[in-house]
Amino acid sequence: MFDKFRTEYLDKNLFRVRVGHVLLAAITVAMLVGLSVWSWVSMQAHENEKHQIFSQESDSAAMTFVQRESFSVLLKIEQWADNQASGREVQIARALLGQRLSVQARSGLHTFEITSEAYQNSLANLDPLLVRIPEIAPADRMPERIQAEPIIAEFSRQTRDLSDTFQELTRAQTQAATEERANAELVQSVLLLLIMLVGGVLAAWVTFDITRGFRRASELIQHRQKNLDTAHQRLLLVQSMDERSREIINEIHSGLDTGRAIKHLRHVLNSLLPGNNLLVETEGAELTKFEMQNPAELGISPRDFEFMKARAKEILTLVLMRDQQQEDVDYALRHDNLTGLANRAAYSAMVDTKANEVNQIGGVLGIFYLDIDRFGDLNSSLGYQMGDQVLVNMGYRISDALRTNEFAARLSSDEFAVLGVYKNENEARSRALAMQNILNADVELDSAVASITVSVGCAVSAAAHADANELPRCAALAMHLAKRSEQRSNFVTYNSDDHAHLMTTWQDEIAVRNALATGEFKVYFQPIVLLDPRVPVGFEALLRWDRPGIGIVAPGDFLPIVNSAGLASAVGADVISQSLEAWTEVLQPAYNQAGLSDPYISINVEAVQLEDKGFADYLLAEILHAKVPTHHVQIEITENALVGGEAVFEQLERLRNTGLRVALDDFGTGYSNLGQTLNLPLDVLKIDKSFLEGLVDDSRKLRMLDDVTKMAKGQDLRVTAEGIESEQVANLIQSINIEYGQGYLFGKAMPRNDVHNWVRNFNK
Amino acid sequence: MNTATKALMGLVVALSLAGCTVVNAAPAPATSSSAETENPYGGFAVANPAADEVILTVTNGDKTIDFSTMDLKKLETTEVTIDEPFVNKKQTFVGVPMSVLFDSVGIKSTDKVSTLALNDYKYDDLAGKFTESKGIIAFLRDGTEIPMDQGGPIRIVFPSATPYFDYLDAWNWSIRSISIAE
Repeated sequence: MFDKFRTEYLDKNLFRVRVGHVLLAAITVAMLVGLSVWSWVSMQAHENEKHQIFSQESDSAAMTFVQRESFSVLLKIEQWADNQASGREVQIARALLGQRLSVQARSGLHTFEITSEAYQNSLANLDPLLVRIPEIAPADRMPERIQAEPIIAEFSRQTRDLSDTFQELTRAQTQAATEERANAELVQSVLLLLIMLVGGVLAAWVTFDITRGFRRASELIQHRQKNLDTAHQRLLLVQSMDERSREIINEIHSGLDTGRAIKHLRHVLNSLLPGNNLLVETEGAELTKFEMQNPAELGISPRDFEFMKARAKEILTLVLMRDQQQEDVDYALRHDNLTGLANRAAYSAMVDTKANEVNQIGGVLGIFYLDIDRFGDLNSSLGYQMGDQVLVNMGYRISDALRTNEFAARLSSDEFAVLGVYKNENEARSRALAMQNILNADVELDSAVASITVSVGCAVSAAAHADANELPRCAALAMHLAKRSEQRSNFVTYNSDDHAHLMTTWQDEIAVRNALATGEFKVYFQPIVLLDPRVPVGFEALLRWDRPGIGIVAPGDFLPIVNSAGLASAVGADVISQSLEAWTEVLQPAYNQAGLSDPYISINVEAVQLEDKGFADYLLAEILHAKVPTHHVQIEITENALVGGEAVFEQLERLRNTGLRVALDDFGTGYSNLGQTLNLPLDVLKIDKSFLEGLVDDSRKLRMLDDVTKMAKGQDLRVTAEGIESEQVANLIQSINIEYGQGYLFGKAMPRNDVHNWVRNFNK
Repeated sequence: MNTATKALMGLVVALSLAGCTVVNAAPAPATSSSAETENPYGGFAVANPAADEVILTVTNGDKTIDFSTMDLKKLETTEVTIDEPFVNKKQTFVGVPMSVLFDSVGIKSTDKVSTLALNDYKYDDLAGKFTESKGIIAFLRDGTEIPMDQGGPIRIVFPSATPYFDYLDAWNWSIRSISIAE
């Protein structure tokens, strides 16, 4: 900017060299040169004059010397007359006067020619006497002197008068020199005066121009400073608006509600733009009216005002858009995307609302679960797109059938729910039946017609007493019962007298299923130890249920439910998977780090698993997948499993052929014949802990255990005693050659994360 | 001595105070005078001193040497042709370099010497100044003796292009003696 300023203004206007400046400067310089030349010439003339003074006698100086020599002649004459000087001396004095008179003075004249004619005549009159002087006898000198007095006196007078001539010459010479000097100095003075005059004019002119230029520059700078200040104020205003807008926007993003956001915006605008009269009207998420005024007294430029207005509108648009998005999100959170009905979350909230309504106002709360019969088959045969069309159609029809004060939701894939407040149970059941009738219909699809039937599970609360937690479970149980019969278009209404006893079991089954689905079943590992020497050799995998809110649940408390729910195989498969994974990731590394041989993992297998003919293949595939050597895997079965007969035996035999060992668990708790049992395809006999109870005090029991052990060993079976809780018991069973043991003495069942520590600390 | 004589002597003394000292010239030997002279303003010819007559005395303290024209001619001489500044004529002078005369009595260049003429005109300066300007005591001009009314019998001459050539005060003519200045 400054460069532009300099280019546009300073270079052109601050000071501009004018032709007149140059002319005056040239004149001044020329006169200075002239003065210098003149001074130099004058100095040279002076030097020449000085040179001439030394190199050539001036007329006046010559005259002085003439007078001196003349007096010398007169003196010699007087001395001669007194006989004090010879005549030759007088003549020599005259000769020296002659030399002086012959000198050519500066005027170019001989000195003689400068003297007055009277002097010349007096000298000429004297010379005859001087010529004769050597010849005059001394006695005659004075008479001759006296006789020549007029001549001598005249010469003497003329000699003295030479002073006048000298004065005239000196005066004339001085006058000439003075005039010459005066002329020179006059010229110099005139030149100097002219130089000062022209130089002064030039300096004044330049000074005036520079002053004017600076004044103009100063005015321009002030003008620009004013513009800069204005721009600065504008910038501050715009910047302030921008910053505070960003603050509001950040607050909006942080959850500031619309009303407070608009209030905040008004506050900001009033502080920056007092009197703006902001007018805002909204309709839903739409800004229907937005007006703002630019108060003239503030002098805000239209451009800045438009910026502020746009920023304000932007904030309003943002907050309304945020509200719209929030509404959309809320709607999405509470509704099913496919059918547009409420989802399970909205349904649960509505159950609470309607239950409160019944409890406060009266009436009954009816909940109907509607489930499309064989919807899985429909999906399989027609495809998921057709299935979705059916669901959408169901949604429409349910919505169309709803009455005031009824509410519908889609709970899962093909399960819908309708709830409403009714006068009594009969009305509620009637509505449920009516809804079923409406939904039992043919549905036209793009390429087919589907005959849809729905089964209904219905639960109705007592009058004026609705339990928002219990009633949905009742409806779900009713739905479960309706679906269990596999009858199409079934309708079951929950009846506490008939169905209450089913509720607990059904709910436990649900809990077990959830536990299996969410990974709440955990496998713990109890060490198996070689008794002599006392070395860990393996682990038994034991199932535990880490139930949220309750803690660890023992297998005896949930395995019956697992079995009754038909989940034994699924749970068993989970145990196998977790156990093999733990062997690879924890058990084997822990043993290796402790310098021990690889352990084996002993996994409990339920009878129902063995009944599956593919179990052996499945198990071997899992072992292979987990990269566990088969001779480090052992399965434990109970006597119950053996009732499966040959089919079970074949599977066990196949597994044993791969190196996997089969152990009979809980031996001593059943009723099997020991002899028959030992003939089965087994490798290990695990003595149940009940066998060890009272062993220390009951020698008969010890003998019996000794007999069993001997028989087992006779059939090449390993024997493992379970439930060893003391060294005394350990020593006793070791004394009857039982090789392996497990129990609290060595370690309780532990989560996989504790295995490392247990192995490391076992022999410490 | 009459009053006029005293007045004349007083005037001469007063003029001498400006740079000249009046001394009595030794009695001149009888010489013949001629009524003719080359100098139109000389009035009449005055004979030069005899060849063996002492015309120059050079003194340095106790050491004094008197020179006649004959003596000077026996010394080393040099010839100088110049435009004589007093008469503006080209003239050739022959004379003895002043350095030779200084050396004869042991005057050093740093000694201040006094040159004195027959009319008592005196000029003092360092001996080196005279030798620097190659001053000579000339006794011949254009091959003949220098007449008495033209600066003779001997006079100081400086060659052209020397510092004293243009400084006429140093051109002492009819010189009579050279001594250490007091």
